[in-house]
Amino acid sequence: MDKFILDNNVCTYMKPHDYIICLVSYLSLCVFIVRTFSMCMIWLRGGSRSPELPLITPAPLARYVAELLTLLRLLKVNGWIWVGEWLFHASLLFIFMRHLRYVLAPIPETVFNLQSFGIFAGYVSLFAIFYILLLKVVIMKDAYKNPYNLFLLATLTIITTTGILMRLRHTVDTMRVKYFVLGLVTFEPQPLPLDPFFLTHYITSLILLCFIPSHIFAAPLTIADAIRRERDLRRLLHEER
Amino acid sequence: MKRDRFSNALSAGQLIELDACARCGECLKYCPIQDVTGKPSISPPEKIRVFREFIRATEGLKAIFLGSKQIDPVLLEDFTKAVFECTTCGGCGDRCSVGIFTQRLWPMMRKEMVRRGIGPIGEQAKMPEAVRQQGNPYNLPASERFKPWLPKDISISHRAKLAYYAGCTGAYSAQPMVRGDVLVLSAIGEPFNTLSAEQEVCCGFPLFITGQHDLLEDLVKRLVEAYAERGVVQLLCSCPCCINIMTRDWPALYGKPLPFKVRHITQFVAEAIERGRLKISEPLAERLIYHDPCYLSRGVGIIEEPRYMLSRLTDKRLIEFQRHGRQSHCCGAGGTARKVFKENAYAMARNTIDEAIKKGADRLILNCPACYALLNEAQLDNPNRIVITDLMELLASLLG
Repeated sequence: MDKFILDNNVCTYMKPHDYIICLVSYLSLCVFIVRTFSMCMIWLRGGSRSPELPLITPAPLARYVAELLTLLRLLKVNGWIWVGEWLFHASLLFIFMRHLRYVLAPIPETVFNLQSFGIFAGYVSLFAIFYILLLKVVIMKDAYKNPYNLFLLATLTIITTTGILMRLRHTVDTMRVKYFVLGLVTFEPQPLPLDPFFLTHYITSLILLCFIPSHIFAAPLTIADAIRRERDLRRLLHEER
Repeated sequence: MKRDRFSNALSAGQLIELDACARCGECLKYCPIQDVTGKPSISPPEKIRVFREFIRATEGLKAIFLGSKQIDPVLLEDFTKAVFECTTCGGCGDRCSVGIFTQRLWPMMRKEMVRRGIGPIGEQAKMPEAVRQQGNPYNLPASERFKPWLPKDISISHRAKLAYYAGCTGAYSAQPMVRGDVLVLSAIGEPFNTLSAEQEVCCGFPLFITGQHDLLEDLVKRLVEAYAERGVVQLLCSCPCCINIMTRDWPALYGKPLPFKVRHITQFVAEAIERGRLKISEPLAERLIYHDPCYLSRGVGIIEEPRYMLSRLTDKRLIEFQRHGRQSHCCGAGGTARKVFKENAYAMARNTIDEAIKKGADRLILNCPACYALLNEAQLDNPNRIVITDLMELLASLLG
């Protein structure tokens, strides 16, 4: 059953747990795709039969991009939370860019140059998560307690902490991680690097993938609609100015 | 097998909005119902979460392949109560970090509950029959629509380019307001007409907002055609709810663009003041505070005109509520919730009155018949009192 693989002149074998993890990885990806697909199907089934003001103009692109990048709406509502959320979302972008090195071969220069920013972003995101938790749970004592958001924050804390620990303690062979990830991408499974931090980091990421919040996909659309709607509000009863 | 779809009443955009809610809970700080009940279970994100669960349970992939889940009737009932308890003021949507248009979303959720036969609640359910019989949701005689308040000496032309729509709440529950409207229009001197008391039926808003949409098209067609027959070019209305449905929904319900322009009365009057067509005898020496009606400010963007008018009516600076303009705080009159959840409505109304007094205002100026009716009613048992006047009522009293 074990598969013999020659990897940099080192003989490694695919063990049952390697196959299980590979299977779980593909399953998680399937769950993610099916959930997203199901969500989009429900959107497409929308009645649109309600009498509604038709779209007059599309949202202005520059304002839309600016709003998305700055999370402007949140800033207007709660500046304190905004600091944490903006830092978190911005650092996620750099962390994502840093992780591209595991799926791309050869690594593009841009991704290579962003590596140190990615490491820094890891610390920032951990800080942001704790900051948000502190604000919401301890300081602001939010009236609306939402177990799902707490679950997301807990998951992200685990992922970020183990990521940072791997970096600090150099416990994992990054080349093995790359082979493992590339193996998944190319459907040629490779053995899993056996490191407790990596395992926790990776499995928690798979869990997050299954429960990824829908607002990541839907909010950019509603923000575009809100910009258009607010602009058109002036035109409902007023001449264009 | 035909599935029991919860998404029936919602547009694609609204279904996306359900998924866009990040459940940050920031909207709770702007929800007037939260102020008076403090129940997060009836908060905007919770309503969205539960409705999304209904959709997933009946239309998600699991439901498609394994059959849809039976929704717990108690949960459905609780949800219906929560969605009808809302004043649909849209304060939550205005401050939503992802821009959800809640002022539209809640009525569509209500429509779905009506389709399922579990909404509306109490008095609200009697409105369609009342509108069918009497032309108004209050079930009061159509013949009494204008009589009690329309001054006999006001000249109303049968055919004129300008028309005035009084609206049911103004005509039956806030008569000083509509009386002020016609007195001011008359003083401007431009000929205007109104439909007959029997012809001027409900604009459809109370039915729309409670999710009872069956009569809407018929009402709108009757009204639009009646005005078109009279050669109307410009239709004026002072009720924020009427003006909201006229501008946002009438064209869709009528099936084509309206043959006349709809304007809020303050736009017309502010212009008349600007052009010197209205003479104000002597400005008031009082500190006025103005309450922005939710469906006028957030709904159709009328914010500056009433303030311009007030700046001409008093020689003192206008006092503003802490939340004003588009961020205005609901007084409790919205969404016809006041008909069923009276205690909530009174508590919200008293909050508005108390804030006005705390701000040092001598007079609270309103611009909506529903706000007018509720605040006057709520003030009866309130230890704190303030003079409540409608904007047009005040202007009419100050005409030279």
